Amino acid sequence: MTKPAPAEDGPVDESQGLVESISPGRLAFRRYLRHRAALVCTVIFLVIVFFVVFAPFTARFSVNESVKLPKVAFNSPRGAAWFGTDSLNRDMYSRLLWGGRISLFIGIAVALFGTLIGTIVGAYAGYRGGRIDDVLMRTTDVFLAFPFLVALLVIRNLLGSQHWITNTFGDKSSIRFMVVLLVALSWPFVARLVRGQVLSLKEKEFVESARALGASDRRILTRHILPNCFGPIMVATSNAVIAAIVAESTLSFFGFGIQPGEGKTSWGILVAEAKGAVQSGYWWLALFPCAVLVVTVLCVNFIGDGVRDAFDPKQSKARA
Amino acid sequence: MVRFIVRRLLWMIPTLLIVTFLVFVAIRVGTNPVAAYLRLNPRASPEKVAQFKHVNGLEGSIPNQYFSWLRRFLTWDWPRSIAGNRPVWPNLKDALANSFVLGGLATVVGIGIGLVVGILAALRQYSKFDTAASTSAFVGISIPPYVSAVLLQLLFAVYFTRWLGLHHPFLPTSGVYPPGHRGFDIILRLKHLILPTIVVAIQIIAIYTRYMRASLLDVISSDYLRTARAKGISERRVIVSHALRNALIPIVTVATIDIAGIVGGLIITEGVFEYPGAGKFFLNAYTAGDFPSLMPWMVIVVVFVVLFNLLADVLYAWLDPRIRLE
Repeated sequence: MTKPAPAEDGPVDESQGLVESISPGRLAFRRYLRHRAALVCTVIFLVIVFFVVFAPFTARFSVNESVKLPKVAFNSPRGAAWFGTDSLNRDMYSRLLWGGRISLFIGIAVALFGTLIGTIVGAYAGYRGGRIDDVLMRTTDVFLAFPFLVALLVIRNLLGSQHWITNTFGDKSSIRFMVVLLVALSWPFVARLVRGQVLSLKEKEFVESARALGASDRRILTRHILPNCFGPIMVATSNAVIAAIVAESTLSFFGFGIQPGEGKTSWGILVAEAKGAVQSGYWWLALFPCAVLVVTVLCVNFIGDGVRDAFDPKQSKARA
Repeated sequence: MVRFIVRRLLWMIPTLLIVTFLVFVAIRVGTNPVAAYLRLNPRASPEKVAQFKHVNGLEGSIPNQYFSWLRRFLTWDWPRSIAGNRPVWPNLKDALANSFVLGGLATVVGIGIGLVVGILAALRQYSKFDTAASTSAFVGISIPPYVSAVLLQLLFAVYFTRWLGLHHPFLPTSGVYPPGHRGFDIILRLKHLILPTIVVAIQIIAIYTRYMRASLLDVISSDYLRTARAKGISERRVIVSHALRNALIPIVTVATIDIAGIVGGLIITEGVFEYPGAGKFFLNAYTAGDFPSLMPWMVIVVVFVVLFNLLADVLYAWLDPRIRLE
């Protein structure tokens, strides 16, 4: 897999008169570090993740705890409650952190499982072709013909009506059901992308030479083709994280989302509550959840952009 | 070309049959119409339920139910809606008309602004304007429509009204007319359209800015543009008649294929603004589990998507003479 680095990227070792050899992975990493927007967004995203993961330490109140203030509800931002309080006088800042745990969990779980299933099916379909390839392409065609929200809602009812699914994962308003639903909708898109990559890579000379050396199909796929798909798969994963977080909040917004109970919340639920705060002018209930959601989505988008540029520098000039 | 179109139109028939069958199964299994009927009519007698099943063709195996539904759908003998027991088509027709107004307006505004910004950004690549436009477009596609809708409502309907000390909202946030209004009033209608149009258009502007910029940059670095310049024609003609014409070809296909994305944006926007369009119709029908209303809606969306895909292929061949349709 190692190949000599292009002169512009590899520092020339003067003493030996040789070009230092760098692995493609390190080369990509260096290019990523040079993508300033992606770098800034990585830092912001990591800060958000840090605050959310360590919510027991970073949050000022527990998720369902009322703040003691003179007014019993809807306090605007102040020292005691940085982002204001909601109808039950619960601290918005703390609830955003607690809600982030559920939203980020859903985003990351969906992306992991979706990418895993999608990569396996897509690689197999692209490499073998035939029946499974046809089924995969036609199925995703049908999904793509509908607006995402429509597909999401129809599949939600379909999965929710199957007792073996609700018995295994919980009913339609549970977190696990949401993960299953979003994985069911996200893996075909990863599979489609991986299939396209595998289809073009399997005709390349390095695959032919591996085959000539007697490598098995499995070895060719796992050691030669898939490592070369790493960039696009990473981009697909970051897209899946965004899609899952946004889908969860879209469903919540229209009242079809998760209901974790006991005052637990998610970014989607908080954004949905913002809807009711608008007419009364409680701007903090609308602004902060929306801002956190948009900043997170934007950061993951930029990270995906940086990864794509890092793995495919030829493309970056002409693309927006 | 005519043969190609006819053949594609004929191919639409099996495609539509398969897709509508899949949709029928998904919705029939997912949203149980009998349960929805009982939810709305909790004291219905067993005879009434049996009658409902019979009238709606919900007896027998699923393929049988599908064909009985299909026969009635094609002969314009649609079952009545579960919620309200009304004929489906009059409501659906009004909803579609409202959505065409909103979607059409937003598409025209969105594509117009998006293309202009994209062209200007590409012509001055890496300038401050380009950076600002690209970054805003990136932010634009990252904002879900309901987020922009909520923030715009807060700013224009609530806070502007307060700051200006008005008695009525500065811009209305729901419906097409104020409650109790009768008749047609162009000013009121437009006022109600402003915020939803902005929300739908933001997405379209962001997408088309990116596409247009990328497509034009692609063309600008091509050999035939260098040749055109080498011939000594003015820079203006190089850009307008050589670069732009070619850069617009991929945009046309994107514009026609992206219809599902625009419908998706419409559903969310209409949901937030209580705008009585096709998107709101879908959300209402879905919430009520109203099977007889959902199916025609789905069929119309699928027909639209398939037709627009065909349109994309035809336009592509028409604009780019190198492509042969056969």
